[in-house]
Amino acid sequence: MSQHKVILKNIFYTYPDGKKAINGISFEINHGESVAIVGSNGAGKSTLLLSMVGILSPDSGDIRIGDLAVIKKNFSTIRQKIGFTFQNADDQLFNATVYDDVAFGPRSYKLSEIEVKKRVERALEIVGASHLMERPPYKLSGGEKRSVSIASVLSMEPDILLMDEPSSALDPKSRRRLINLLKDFTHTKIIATHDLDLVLDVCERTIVLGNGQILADGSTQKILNDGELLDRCGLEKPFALQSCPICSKR
Amino acid sequence: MSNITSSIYKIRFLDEMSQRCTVIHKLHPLVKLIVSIVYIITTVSFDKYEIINLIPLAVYPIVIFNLGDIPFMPVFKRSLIVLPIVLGVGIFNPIIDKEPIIIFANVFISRGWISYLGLVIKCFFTVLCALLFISTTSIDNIAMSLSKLKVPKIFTIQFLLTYRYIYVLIEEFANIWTAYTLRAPKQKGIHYKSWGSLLGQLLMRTYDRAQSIYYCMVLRGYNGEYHQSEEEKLYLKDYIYLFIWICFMVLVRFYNIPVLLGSIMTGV
Repeated sequence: MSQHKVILKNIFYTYPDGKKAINGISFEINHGESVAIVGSNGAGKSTLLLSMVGILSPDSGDIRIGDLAVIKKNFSTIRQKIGFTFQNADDQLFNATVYDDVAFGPRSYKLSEIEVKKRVERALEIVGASHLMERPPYKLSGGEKRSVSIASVLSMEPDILLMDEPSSALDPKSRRRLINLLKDFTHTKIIATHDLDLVLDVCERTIVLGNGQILADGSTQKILNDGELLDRCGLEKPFALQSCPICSKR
Repeated sequence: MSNITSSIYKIRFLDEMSQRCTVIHKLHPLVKLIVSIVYIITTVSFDKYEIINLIPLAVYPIVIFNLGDIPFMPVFKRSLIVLPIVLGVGIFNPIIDKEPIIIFANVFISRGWISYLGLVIKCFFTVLCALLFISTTSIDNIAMSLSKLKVPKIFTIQFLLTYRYIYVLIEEFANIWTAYTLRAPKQKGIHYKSWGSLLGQLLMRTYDRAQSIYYCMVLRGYNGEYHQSEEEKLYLKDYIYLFIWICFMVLVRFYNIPVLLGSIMTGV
């Protein structure tokens, strides 16, 4: 996995209840790219992310992470290289202390306790949560939980970050901190979100999904300035690109 | 609602206690587990009428409360939870076993009451011992010490995951309860007609949450084995702790210490 390309070719996925969530999606994401996946509710964003890590198996199509196909025998290697944060940070934090939660990944990969400690400290330092190390996760604020959940995947030193709605349920300051943090990351980032202001700040490329298909794929600036496209996809221009309601200036 | 929220905090109280950093907390979990097991076995091994012999066993919880910096009342209250069951089970002792016994001068009491009291004391001591153990040892360390005692991995993992699932269950129930009470303000509790659907909801929601948590674990390398922190080594202090308590239990079990002390003090 020298080059951490993410390649999806003609992916189809139907839920057991018959709902078609993904209808023939193909794209390629290069090493170091920051890509937003946007779309209205039920567009297939989360399903797509879960397919990339093998939690959901597509009915047909091919997903490759670097040189490896996302198939059962490669799961362990692939999941070590992909950090996945869930929409609900609470789901990701299930240990008695923040330290144990951040250490869960490295310990699962049987790293020595010295290495685990080093990684936990580094990951918590990156997200600015070193002071929370001994705290029980359920006592943290929403923003702190989000930071720790990101640390819990950073401790595995992933090459690719997949994030499902990372800014949901965050207050404005926590959200701004998250945006600054994401901007500093050099990982390949794939972010599924409704927060188009975050997309504008963090991602240079945007893929718009609708009814399980790609409706647009291109530069974030171009897509987020296309009011008609956004309207068609159940989205609206980010605040930063909307005109001032008083002076009508941007 | 406030009751449920406070219940969540109460349940987490023991978890928080176990994260403290005292002499007792720093001991190897295996040693604490062995001492606790030996204590429980010693306590229940006494004959039902030997309540005097049980008195010295109070030393163990007193020492752990003090050295472990555990607040007495919260743990004491929790130890009373099982008391109604024991009181119910043992109530037949005084009824069936009516043979009188002298306890002091001309004061008689039936042997049934003695055995009843013995049962309550044994229950109290054993529950207290278990609570003190989990107040001074984190759940992960308990699982680790169980696996050191060769308890099959499947049980220790089940133990750990079930413990975590309890929180998910309570949190989801708290959410359902809040949503229900806000729309049924004049009701006391949940109407029986809603029990079925609410329980179904609770099951589905906790199942979904548990599945999400499982996905999070799988994506961070979980493959059926729960890896805790690397096994700590047994230090000299652990061996000393184990030795002292085992000696104490053996002494208490085979010598009637209160009677011995009494005869030494009275010189009889």
